[in-house]
Amino acid sequence: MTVVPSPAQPGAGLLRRRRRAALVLVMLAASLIAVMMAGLTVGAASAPVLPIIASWFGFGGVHDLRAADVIILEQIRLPRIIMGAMVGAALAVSGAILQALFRNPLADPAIVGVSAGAVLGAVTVIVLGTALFPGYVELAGAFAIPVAAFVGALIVTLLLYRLATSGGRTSVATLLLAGIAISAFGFALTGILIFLADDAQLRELTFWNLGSLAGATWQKVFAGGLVMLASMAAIPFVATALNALALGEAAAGHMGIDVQRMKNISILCVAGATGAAVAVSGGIGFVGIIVPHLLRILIGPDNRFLLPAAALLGGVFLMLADTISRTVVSPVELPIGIVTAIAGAPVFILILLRRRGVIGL
Amino acid sequence: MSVTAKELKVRLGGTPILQSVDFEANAGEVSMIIGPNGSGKTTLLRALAGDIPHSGKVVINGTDIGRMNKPGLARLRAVLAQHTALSFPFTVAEVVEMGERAGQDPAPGIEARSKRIRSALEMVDLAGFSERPCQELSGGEQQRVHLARVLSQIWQPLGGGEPRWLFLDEPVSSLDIRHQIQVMETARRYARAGGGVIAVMHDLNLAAMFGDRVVAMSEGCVVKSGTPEEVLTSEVLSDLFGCSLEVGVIPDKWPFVLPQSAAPA
Repeated sequence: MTVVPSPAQPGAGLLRRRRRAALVLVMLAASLIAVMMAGLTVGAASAPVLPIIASWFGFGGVHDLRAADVIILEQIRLPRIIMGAMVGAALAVSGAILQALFRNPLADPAIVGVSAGAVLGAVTVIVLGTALFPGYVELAGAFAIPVAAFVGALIVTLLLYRLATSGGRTSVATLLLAGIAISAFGFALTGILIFLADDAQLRELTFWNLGSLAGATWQKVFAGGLVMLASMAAIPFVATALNALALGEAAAGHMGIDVQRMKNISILCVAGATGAAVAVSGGIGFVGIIVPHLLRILIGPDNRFLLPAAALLGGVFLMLADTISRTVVSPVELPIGIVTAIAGAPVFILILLRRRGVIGL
Repeated sequence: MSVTAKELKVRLGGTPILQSVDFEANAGEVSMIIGPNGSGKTTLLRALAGDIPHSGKVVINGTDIGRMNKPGLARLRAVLAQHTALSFPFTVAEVVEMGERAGQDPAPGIEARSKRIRSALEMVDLAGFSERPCQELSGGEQQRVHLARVLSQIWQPLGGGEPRWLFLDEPVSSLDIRHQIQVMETARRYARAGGGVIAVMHDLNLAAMFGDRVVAMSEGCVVKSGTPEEVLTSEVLSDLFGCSLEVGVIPDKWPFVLPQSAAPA
């Protein structure tokens, strides 16, 4: 029988979700600022934070403060939290875009091998860079590693798409299994390179194993951040098209979407964001799976809201994880990848269990 | 104004699926494509929609579709596939909105847009479903959600004096009989208002009731086309489907065919 729609819902269900999404976006932005402030305050050394922040805005003088405190804040903690927020945002957005592209909530840059490709690209330049491509390293300067990581991530994403998608349909099993194989292959090649590395290079490489924000410098923030921000700037151009893709490639095409163009932009976006994030922080896993999953429950799957919200929540999540990793066994640091994996792996299994019937695994 | 195909040939994976099909559908009419499984009905519809590479010509309202871009084509015709699998928990209203956005005349403002979505949902008898997650609905309900999406993409049957086209691939395959009739009536109303409808149908009785023209396909060729009375005869159908079918006629109304007529005595 026909149900008469009640006049209490004038928006046909569109407005309500949209208001909620707007509210969540505002709250996430506020949380990000709060978490970044907290990250500035918490640490092994206790530095007086407020006077130093006040001095940035011209209140009080720097001369009243201890030089060591100022250095800890300005050269260690500040670049670290800015880098953490950007890396978290980049990884979460990469995850959400990969999921929309592969039409599956289990895609994550670290799980399907995109991060492994980025690590391989970066390690190649660190170990063999000056020997094989001296001109490139000199020319690219601070961008040498992020760009190499981008190229590695791009190759893997393209390869993965080729392997897992045929005739516009993605096989989940092929996607995940191809990801395992690509990751294993990438890590094997990386292993060979590490074997060839000298002591100084090894020290530079160790943090790639589980990921860390400890190596944050202003130089990395600028070089990596530029690539990450540029990649995420593409969000408004693909969000609506990625929504349509949820109905399949054919239906998206029928609705006037240039599917190939949208795929190209999305893949470049994922490779850029993941590549730059890996270049500055190593392979931090599970951010790209846990953040979009929580947000879909909270505000729904509409990419116009999901992607910006993922950027904000990704930043918040990684800042929290970093604060835990810095403080839980202080003054030593736990690699941040351990924290994100402990939080993320159960979520992955939860989604897997829930969808077992749907995807036939 | 019409949709026409001339010497349309399609090969999929090296196998010829359509061999030189000539096809014509007129605006203001419902054209039904019938034929056995694997006769190329869906392939013909996909070729007309511009989905697959083909040789020969497909012309909509006088323009070759090879010369139209995707957004232009999306404003002219909407396509309902046999199955549409949704991969994330979008609500019914959000799914219909995707179609609405793709169309020629998106309603200005969220209020007008919501009103259009509500009308489209009422048209497929899903009023009150707008906030439900689409994946949780039954198969038949989902099929009707997608019909609402497709209708809202080309909401006005005529735009700038040009007819718009509904391409439907087995639109009633998972519907109960009441909704089958309702959906076919919606299609007919769309055609009577000046638009065009091309539907792949397995139900011969609905094809007889609601079709203005019927095109019979077999092994990648059009074997017969004309009015329902011309095409839906015992002789044509028995030959087409390879079993002896007895077509009856309700006087002054439509031909009908019962599966019982094909049962061995």
